[in-house]
Amino acid sequence: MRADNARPLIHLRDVVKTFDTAAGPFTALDNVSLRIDPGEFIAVTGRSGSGKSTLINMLTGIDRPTSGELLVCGESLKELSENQLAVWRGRNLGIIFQFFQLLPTLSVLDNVMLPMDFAGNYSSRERPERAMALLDQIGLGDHAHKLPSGLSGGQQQRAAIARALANDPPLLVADEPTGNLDSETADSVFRLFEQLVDSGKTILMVTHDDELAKRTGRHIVMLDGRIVSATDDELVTAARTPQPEGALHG
Amino acid sequence: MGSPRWHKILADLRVSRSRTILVILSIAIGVFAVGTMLTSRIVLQDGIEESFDLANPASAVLTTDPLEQDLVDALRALPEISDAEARTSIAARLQQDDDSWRSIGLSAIANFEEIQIDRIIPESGAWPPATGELVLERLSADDAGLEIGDAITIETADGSRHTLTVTGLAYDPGQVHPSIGDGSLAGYITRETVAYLEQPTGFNDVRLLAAEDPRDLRQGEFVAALARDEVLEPGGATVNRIAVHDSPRYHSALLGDALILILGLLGVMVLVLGMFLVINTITAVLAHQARQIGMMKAVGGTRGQIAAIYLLMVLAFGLMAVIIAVPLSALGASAFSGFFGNLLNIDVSGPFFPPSVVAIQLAIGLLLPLLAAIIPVLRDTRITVRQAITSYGLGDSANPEGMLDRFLERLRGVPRPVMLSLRNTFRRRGRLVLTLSTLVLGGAIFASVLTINASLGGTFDQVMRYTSYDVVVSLRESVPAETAISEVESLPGVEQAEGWIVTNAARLRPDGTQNSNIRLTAAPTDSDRIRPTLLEGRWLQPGETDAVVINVDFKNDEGDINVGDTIALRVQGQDLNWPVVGVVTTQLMGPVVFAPYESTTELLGIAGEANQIVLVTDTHDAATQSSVAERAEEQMRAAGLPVIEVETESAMRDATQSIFNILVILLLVVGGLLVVVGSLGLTGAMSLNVIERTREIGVMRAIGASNGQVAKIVVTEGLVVGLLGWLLASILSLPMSWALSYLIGVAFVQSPLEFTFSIAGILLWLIVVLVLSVVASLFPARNAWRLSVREVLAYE
Ligand SMILES: Nc1ncnc2c1ncn2[C@@H]1O[C@H](COP(=O)(O)OP(=O)(O)O)[C@@H](O)[C@H]1O
Ligand SMILES: [Mg+2]
Repeated sequence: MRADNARPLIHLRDVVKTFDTAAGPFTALDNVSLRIDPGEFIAVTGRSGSGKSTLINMLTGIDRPTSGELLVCGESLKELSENQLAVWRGRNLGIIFQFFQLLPTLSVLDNVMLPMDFAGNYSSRERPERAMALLDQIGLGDHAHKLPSGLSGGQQQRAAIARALANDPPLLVADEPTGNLDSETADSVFRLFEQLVDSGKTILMVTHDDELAKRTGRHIVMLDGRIVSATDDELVTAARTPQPEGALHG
Repeated sequence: MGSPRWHKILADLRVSRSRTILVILSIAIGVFAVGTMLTSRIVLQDGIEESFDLANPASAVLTTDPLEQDLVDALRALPEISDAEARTSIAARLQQDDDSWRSIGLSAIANFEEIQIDRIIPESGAWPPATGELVLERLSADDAGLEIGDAITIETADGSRHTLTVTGLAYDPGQVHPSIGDGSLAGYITRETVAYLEQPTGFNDVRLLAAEDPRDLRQGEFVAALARDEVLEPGGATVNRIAVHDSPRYHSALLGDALILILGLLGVMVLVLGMFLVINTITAVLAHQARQIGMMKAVGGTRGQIAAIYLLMVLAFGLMAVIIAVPLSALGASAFSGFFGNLLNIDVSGPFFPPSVVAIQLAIGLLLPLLAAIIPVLRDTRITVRQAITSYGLGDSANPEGMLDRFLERLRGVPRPVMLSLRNTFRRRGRLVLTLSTLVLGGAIFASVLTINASLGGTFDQVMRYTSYDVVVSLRESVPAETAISEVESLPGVEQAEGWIVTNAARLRPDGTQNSNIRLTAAPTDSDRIRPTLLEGRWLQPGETDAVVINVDFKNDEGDINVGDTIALRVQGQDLNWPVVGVVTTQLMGPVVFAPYESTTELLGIAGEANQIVLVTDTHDAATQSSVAERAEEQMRAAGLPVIEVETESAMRDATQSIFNILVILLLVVGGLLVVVGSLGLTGAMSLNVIERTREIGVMRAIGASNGQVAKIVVTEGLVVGLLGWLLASILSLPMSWALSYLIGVAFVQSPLEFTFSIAGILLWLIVVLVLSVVASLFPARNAWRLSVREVLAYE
């Protein structure tokens, strides 16, 4: 841990995101400011539609803010083109999706090596060794040569985590990584995150599981596009009104 | 149609507009190509038939020494002959603007208002022409650049010159465009003009119409022999030549047959190609709709309801395509048949919407897409709600048990992005098969078209190799060969001269009938001026007597002659019974028999004589040939030799070339059409492949793939499919083009074309494939990476 590092890993100031919808402009993020230091483990919760995924998309450069400042891993994302963003992502952060998104035609090992191929920051001889090491670390060493379709959901998510770690990025971002897993499997994935944080990674995770959220170092709650102070009980309660999520949006 | 599900379909169509356009265009192009081919075929076939009806062609034409009307009347009186007419035909030359001469056949007609046989239809100007005036066949005027009012200089065989004024144009359905006929122009004059030209005014061209089956070859031969034996010869007239089915119209019928055959064959192939295109696109569109289908089920749609929606959507695609394609194909057929109609001198008048073709177009446009859609619709509408809504991930891989997968699994040295491309290529087996089928078929047809083209070139060379002389002088009657040769032998530029006999012959069939339509060529057996390509048996050996070689036209016309059989020929009143020792290819001039010069002249009682002098010049360019031709003619005329025609090899080559060019043009037009259809198929298949993988591209972007890296993966995949398709197409094109050149050859030159595989064809297709693979995969890929990752992953 480098808690003494003065520079934040993520810094959002007055970030606004509006979408043009048929019903007029819709503000999905409303003046969000946020500072995250290296080594933090953060959970973001909030009811469906509160802006969690939109926030994640801002941080990962998957989408761009309408206004506001955005500094991630030392880079002001505003200035990067889509192409530069892709390259930047490959080196600086690992993304973990709710539905794993492993490439079905590649073996698990190949999937893990792919980001290294793209980024080109390990020698081609190092890549397989490193990928194997990562898979061993997350307990998938025996499945390295299988296709993703041969793995269970939990195993696929672990493989996706290994892929996110491929280029040893300082930051991991996960949008509902356990949303599609049973609670036991979800727990094992979460424990993997804890290990990673212990080893120095910064992790930002969207979840709707309050029990998991409580176990992280910092808990952010969102409501209607705003970050609600965790001490404001009333708002937190409102924000926590259970909402089934994930399955039917999109 | 106000229900939400129709709104959904319409919205879908609007949203995926480029895909909708692609599907409609794919169907439309297939429907258009098939319609153009088949309609042109019908229109040309009708046009050719109509031209025969219009002309009412003679069953036989007898060339005689001048005779009078009483003999013609006597012919008419025969019950076997329903009608007889006579003309005075004059072979002459016309002086062109550049002072060169061009041959023209003048027909003097007794009664212009009542032509019953080989009718000529006035088009403009005078009819009949006055004395000293000339009506030109419309295409002759066109080809020679002459107009009404032009005065032309005519030189007749005796060398005398007169001026005639063109005062009218006419349509002679028996003629074709001079460029595909014998190159000779055609004009019509009165008998008074014959006198004005100082030519014998008696009839020398007798046209007969058989009472029974007037267009039957055998009937023609029968009435011709009858007329000669019962009326003309007993009446004191001499028959020099009998021609049955020997007009340019009949000759070009072969070309027409070849054209129509090619149109039919290629029409069918384009049809099959169009089918693949349609199946391919529809399958892809439906695959894309899988999730939508699940959603509709989630809100209570039954499988039947949903299937009906999609089938109707497909029907709507087809309907739009047909609406676009049918009128366009009428235009296409009109342009296409107009072009060939002009060459064949037929008025193409439609039908441009023949019901049978429109029915085929409707079937291809409407039924085929429906049929193509049924399987994927039934399969995809089986998707469960759960499958549909959980299909957020990247889907399942193909069954990894296949040999190919295990092979790809072992490809360790290959960079991962390339391996990804390779695996993706083989991931959707069904899709790959469809894409490849389209590509392979398109490529194979394209390569075959160019191979036929090359084979036509090879066959043309074969025809031209037949004889190797530079100038040929034809004489009205045979003269001592030595005399004629000595006149020209010492001319500058002449290297060698040979005397031949070329004359008309009749085959006496075992059943007593005869075929008088044969040319006999007797060249010295040791001549190396003539080297036909053998199909069977052997060529005449030096010093050989009493043997003949026939050409394939002869063999096919008669049907009962094989190598080894002895045939009976009547030549200038003498009978000749010689065995056939070989069969050679055609020279595009109808039936020919080759006999040894020495024994033939002896038998005919003209030993040592020749009526054709062939010359070899020192250089073989067109200029040398025509200057030698000109001088040889002068020299021989001056010596009193009866020269009737002097031809150069290059002029004959040009004439033959233009006949081949017709087919070549046709093939190139079809080739062009195929490139469009094939390209569209390739583009469609490739783009759909990429579009289907938009989500995957999004994931790659999310884990750090740059534009260039995505492009590389996608383009590699396109190239792999393209190259694989090209390879298979090249292989398939071999048997396909062989079969095609066999069929076309038999229709056109009566024997298979000289098969010449076009390497250029497959290389050209390779270039098309490479360019299209890159373009067709890069564009959709660009669209995919332009979408932000969010759009791809979250809101697809
Ligand atoms: N591309 C978009 N266009 C329009 N509205 C959007 C878009 N993306 C998100 N939204 C809206 O923004 C709000 C926040 O969405 P999201 O961040 O996905 O919520 P969460 O992840 O918390 O469920 C939602 O109301 C959603 O409908
Ligand atoms: Mg979300």
